[in-house]
Amino acid sequence: MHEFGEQFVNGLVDGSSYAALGLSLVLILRITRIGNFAQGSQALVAVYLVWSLLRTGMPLIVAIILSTIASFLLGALLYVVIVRPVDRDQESPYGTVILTLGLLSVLQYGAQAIWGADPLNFPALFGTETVHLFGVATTRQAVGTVGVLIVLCILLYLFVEKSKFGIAFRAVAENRLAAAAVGVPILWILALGWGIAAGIGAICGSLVAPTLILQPQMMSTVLIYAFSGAVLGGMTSLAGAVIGCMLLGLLDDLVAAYVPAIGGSYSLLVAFVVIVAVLLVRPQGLFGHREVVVR
Amino acid sequence: MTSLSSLSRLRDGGITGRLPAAGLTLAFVALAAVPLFLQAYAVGEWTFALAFAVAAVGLNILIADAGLVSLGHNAFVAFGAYATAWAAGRGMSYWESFLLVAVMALALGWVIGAPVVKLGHLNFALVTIGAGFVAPTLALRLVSVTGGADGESLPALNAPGWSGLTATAWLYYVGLAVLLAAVLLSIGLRRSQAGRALRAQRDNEAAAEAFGVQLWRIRCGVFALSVMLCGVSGWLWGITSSFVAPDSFDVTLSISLLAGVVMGGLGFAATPIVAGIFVEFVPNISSNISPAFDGLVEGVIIVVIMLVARQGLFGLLTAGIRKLPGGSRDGTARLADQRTDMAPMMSGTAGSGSDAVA
Repeated sequence: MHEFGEQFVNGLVDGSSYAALGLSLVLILRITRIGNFAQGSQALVAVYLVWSLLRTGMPLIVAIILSTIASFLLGALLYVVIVRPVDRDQESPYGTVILTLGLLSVLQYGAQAIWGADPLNFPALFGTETVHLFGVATTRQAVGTVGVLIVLCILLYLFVEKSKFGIAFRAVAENRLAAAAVGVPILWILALGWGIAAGIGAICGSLVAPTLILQPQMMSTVLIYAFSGAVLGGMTSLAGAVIGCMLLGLLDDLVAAYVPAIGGSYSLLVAFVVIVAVLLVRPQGLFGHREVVVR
Repeated sequence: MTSLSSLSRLRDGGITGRLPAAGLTLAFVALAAVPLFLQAYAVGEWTFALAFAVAAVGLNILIADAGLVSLGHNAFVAFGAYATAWAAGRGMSYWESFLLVAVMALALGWVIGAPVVKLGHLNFALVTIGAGFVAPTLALRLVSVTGGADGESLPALNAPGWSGLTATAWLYYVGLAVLLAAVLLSIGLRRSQAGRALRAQRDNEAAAEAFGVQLWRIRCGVFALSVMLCGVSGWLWGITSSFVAPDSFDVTLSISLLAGVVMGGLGFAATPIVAGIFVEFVPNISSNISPAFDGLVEGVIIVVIMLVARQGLFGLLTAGIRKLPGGSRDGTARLADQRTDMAPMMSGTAGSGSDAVA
């Protein structure tokens, strides 16, 4: 039972690192209807940026904040300069799918060209000391990651549901044309959305980098899990994305620990089978709304 | 409606309709001459290019005609290569294993496609990327079939005596014949009723369904066909390389294929040839500069093409030719531009079966 508790906590911690990126993906999906496959590599570049800032002797927390701000600006710029022209021209979704896959390649291999393929050490923001929580041993970094996710969720909730910006956000997500007609500055809102998503990605990347070891492929699996979790949760629901990613993290760790025949590298396969099965029964995902299924 | 669909229609007839056929013939004649001028090693490299081109035919059909983006094609090429090695290990000849691999890949495509094509474009892309990521790990772990990290060796394909060719040249011509068949298949599909139904569902799902297109069946079918072409590509790849190991098939292969197809121009019959050459030779050149350079170049190509020349190289070429004196048929071309795919599809379902856009 004790071991189960440990696996359970591990699963939740993994899940929350996916969930942060899942939030970014869903944010972009909701307002621009684009699946951003480059989200992980954007975060990767942000983490490398933190690493470079650290070498100038800057404290970790300052470096992360600076990199998050830079990511916000770059994310917004990326949308306005590159993604929007393609998105505007083409009604079918596969143009932007191809584009963001291309961006994934550019950013990931660009980062590799600049920072090299060798794994780099990345310090843990909250420290690596062991702490005991409800009788389960875990690290401070793990607790911190979950804590940051909770804070991000609360902030995002307040922003989307309670602020004036949030109303504009939801209006754009609901009906872009109608929102424009009542004077919502569409381009600014969409760019803001991409910026916020990139900022969340930067935070997420900085939190997982100590565990995953900073190297160019670091975010690939995180992206896949985050995407899958978002799909499981319903693509359009922020809460759904978090819960979906958590479930996936749990499933992944528990399968790896208790089904030895499947174990480790196969667990991704298990995750996909579960997702396909869920989507066949509920095409809108666990928490999505039927009307806004993104096709 | 979209620039892509209008192009696929324009290419069906008139002046611009003859040129692609002539160009394609010329390309195949040029390809047929390759072994006459090159050393055995270089011919082998060109055979790899042919193998990648066959996979690119599958990807081209899937993206351009069906509107489905797959990044799992590395997994299906790997499947073909491993199945060929497995069959060879059981004493099957390559002609027998060709059929076996094609049928097995078709079945695999159907089994994966059946649930996944129901999930919408984005989820389709996601699940196929997942397949692309899992494939190399799967190949590493299924040691009894794949030989794990050690890989599997394949016997050489000997040229028959009557041909008077070296083994390398013979394999190259086998590959060329396979590619020719695949390209003709893609052209045939594009002109058939199924091809029109595919484009109709791509451009307007609801309208296509209203006209009797069975979305699930046709999407599942085109995906299975695409996977089959990848399987055959893996067959050719496996024989050419005579050695199959997991690291040849990671997801970067899918990105290379995508970059090649996008660069050539989605929906053009000759695009896979360009894509195959691209996938085989660009990494060779660029990895001399830096190991990351290859992926970077491919990414930049995808982004730039999507931004400034959505129809790729052949799109630019077609546009250039139409601007030449005597090549301009702007009035009628524009008209054809604005037609949707519904008209030819209706005539197709009405039983005329003719190509409505001339």
